[in-house]
Amino acid sequence: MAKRDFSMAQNPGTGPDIGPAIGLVQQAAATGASSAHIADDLAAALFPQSDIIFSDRMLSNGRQYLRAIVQEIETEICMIAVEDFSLTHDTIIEIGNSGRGHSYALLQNAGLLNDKPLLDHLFTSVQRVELGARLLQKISQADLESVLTRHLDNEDAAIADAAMALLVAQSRDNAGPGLINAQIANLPAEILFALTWPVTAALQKLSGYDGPDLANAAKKLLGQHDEGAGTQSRAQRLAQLVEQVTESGENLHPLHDGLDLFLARMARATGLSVDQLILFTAEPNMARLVLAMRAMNLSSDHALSVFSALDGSGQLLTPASYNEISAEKASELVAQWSGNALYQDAQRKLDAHFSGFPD
Amino acid sequence: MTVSGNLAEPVRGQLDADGRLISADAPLLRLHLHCGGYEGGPLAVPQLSNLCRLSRQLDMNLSRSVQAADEDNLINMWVEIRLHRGENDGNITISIIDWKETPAPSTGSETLGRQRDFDRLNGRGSIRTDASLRIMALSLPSDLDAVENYIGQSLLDVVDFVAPSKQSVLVESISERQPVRAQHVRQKHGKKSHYILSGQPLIDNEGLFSGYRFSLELDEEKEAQERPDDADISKGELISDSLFGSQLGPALRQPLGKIIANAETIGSRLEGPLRGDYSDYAKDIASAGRHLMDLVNDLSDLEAIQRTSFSVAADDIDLVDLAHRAAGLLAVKAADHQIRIDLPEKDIEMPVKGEFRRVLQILVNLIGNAIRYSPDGSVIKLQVLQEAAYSAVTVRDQGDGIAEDDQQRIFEKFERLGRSGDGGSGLGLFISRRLANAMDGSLTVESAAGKGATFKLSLPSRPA
Repeated sequence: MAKRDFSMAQNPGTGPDIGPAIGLVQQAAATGASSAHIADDLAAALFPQSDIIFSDRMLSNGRQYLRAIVQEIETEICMIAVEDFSLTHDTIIEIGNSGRGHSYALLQNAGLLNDKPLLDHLFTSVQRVELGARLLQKISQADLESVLTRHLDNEDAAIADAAMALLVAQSRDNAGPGLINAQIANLPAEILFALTWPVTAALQKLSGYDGPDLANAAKKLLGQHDEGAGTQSRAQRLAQLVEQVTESGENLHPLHDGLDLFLARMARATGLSVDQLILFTAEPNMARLVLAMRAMNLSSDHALSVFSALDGSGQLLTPASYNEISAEKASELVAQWSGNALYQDAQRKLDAHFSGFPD
Repeated sequence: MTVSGNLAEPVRGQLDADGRLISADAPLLRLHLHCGGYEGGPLAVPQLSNLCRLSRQLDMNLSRSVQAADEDNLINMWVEIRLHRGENDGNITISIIDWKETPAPSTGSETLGRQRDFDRLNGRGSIRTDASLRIMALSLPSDLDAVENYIGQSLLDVVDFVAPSKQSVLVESISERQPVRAQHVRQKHGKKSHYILSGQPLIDNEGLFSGYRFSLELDEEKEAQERPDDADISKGELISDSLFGSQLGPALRQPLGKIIANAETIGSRLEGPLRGDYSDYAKDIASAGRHLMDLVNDLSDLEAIQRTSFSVAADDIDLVDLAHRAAGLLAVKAADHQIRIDLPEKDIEMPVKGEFRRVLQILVNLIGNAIRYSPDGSVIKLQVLQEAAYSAVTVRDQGDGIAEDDQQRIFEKFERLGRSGDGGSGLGLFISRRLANAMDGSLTVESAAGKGATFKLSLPSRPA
């Protein structure tokens, strides 16, 4: 313990286990630096650029998720370095065994977690948990799991196999309603890649170890990762198979498919990404999700039922307002949204610049 | 209908460190070839090669859903990309665990193709441009040369505006992305035909203006004013005088070409094992297709040579050279019948005036006939000779010969001398003689029944 305290003290801002006198001096220095950003923080809180409202629970889940993922990655890297590369550095061994995160604060202060794709992924993960919690208010976990079992008997062996794989992944993920379960296995390759190298650098800085084994361990971690084992990935595979044998949109319902399969099927049917659909569910009135359903030509009863299953704030969609949306216009807009994200983003920014008002 | 891969056996492929496809199961190889790749070449399926590139860039294995397409099918795949480490470091294994082919949603391509054929018959054309009005694709039935000359050029560089239409109106419509309606234009080069031009702006999937699709309709009124003679000739005829050459010919050749190619593929069992009799049927289809194709070509030529405006070029050509070329084209066919073609020495020169491709066409026809009507294992002899102001090439076979009474009849249209089922259309010699005459030459035959036949093509000599 004393050893770890000493190593932390060499690296300001990395943890709370600091002696009181040294702590205040360091805190003063660190606070001075961080207070320079007070205007940015206030601006972000006062002038949000999106229409999405983050509840305290979402923010808490987000922090918790990110901390947990960073901790998992650093633990894995340390364990691989020690076990596979026989690294005998005390700090690294201790970090690997400590069961708590060490590099998070370092990464946060350096701004390395402030990465758009990472934050987008974070938002999606948090909103997915929200949606899962909303569904569980309408159907029990057991019922939700049992909906997938019907695919286990499918005559197409590939579907049965994919359904089994998804069930296994879901049972592994099940952390309870509203709770977030952060697992490396569920990370898309790009996100794991984007996190692993900063975490590796942070571990190097924390430990003072400058040999090659941490980087080798990171490479090994990345090399071992199988994104196909992730729940979303498995849901996508099942959706791909199911959508080929059913009419597009047939029986498409979160209560019928479960959240992951529902999102993956809808994504396939509309050409949008799962992440986009999750974002749509967080937007006011889920307007874009409604348009996506209209573009799929779901009947108003069907759309209203999906809407109420996913809604968590008592918003209302009426058959009249749904039916008056032009299916053609909806398809046109959905086709636009499914286009290049960078292009759409640039378009929005340019429009905002010229009109003076963000849309 | 869905074609599915066997779950137990994924479709596999392997890339080397340079991204070349060094091994692949049949479905993957087929898709790779279809996308323009070649065996041992860089992986040509864009969706898969992107995934491999990403995998290499991240140095991570990937598992993703991929959708690709060939001409007829959408292929949904679940792809696992695995990087090799240690031995064969840098190689990539691609495993496709769900390979599902479904017929591509109809794009109306059949209807479009049919519409194109009708458009050709009606003298209509179409032009597709990019956003800067550069021509990306066109179909201009009355002017086939335009296709290769116009691609890449600006529309405004290939047509002039004819009153009452003005270029400024078009430019204005285009700048406002508005439809263009009934503008009178004329080709700047080539046949200088008059057209009525209409167009619709095209918006791509991302909502961006991506160019125009114009339709062109022959402006018959203006054409009649410009070319009164031609107009008189065509007046009252249901079928125009260039039905085959520029309209039906191209419209028929394309589907026929497909039939022949597919039937040959089936017949040669390139796609896998097939019952022997089915393979033979396919060969019959290919053979019948080739016969039809020859007929279309003959009819196109027939129509061309019967037009009063038909003319031939007077190229400087050499009969010996052409005899060798024609014999080369038919070498395989001759070898099939163990027929030897004796040719004049290559160092002899026999310079004449005539159109290169037409003389080649005549010689191919003569040698082809000789092969067709000669017994297997015989010899066909080609000789050249000089006769005053003319040079000639003769083609002599050892067939049954032609009776004296029939020797003039064989140069008539559709004359088969009672033969049928041998793949001939009865037009070859008629066309050949007309072509020879058009080049100020002649085509004659000397023969006696049972003693073979000698065809002689004479053309005006020129100084060497």
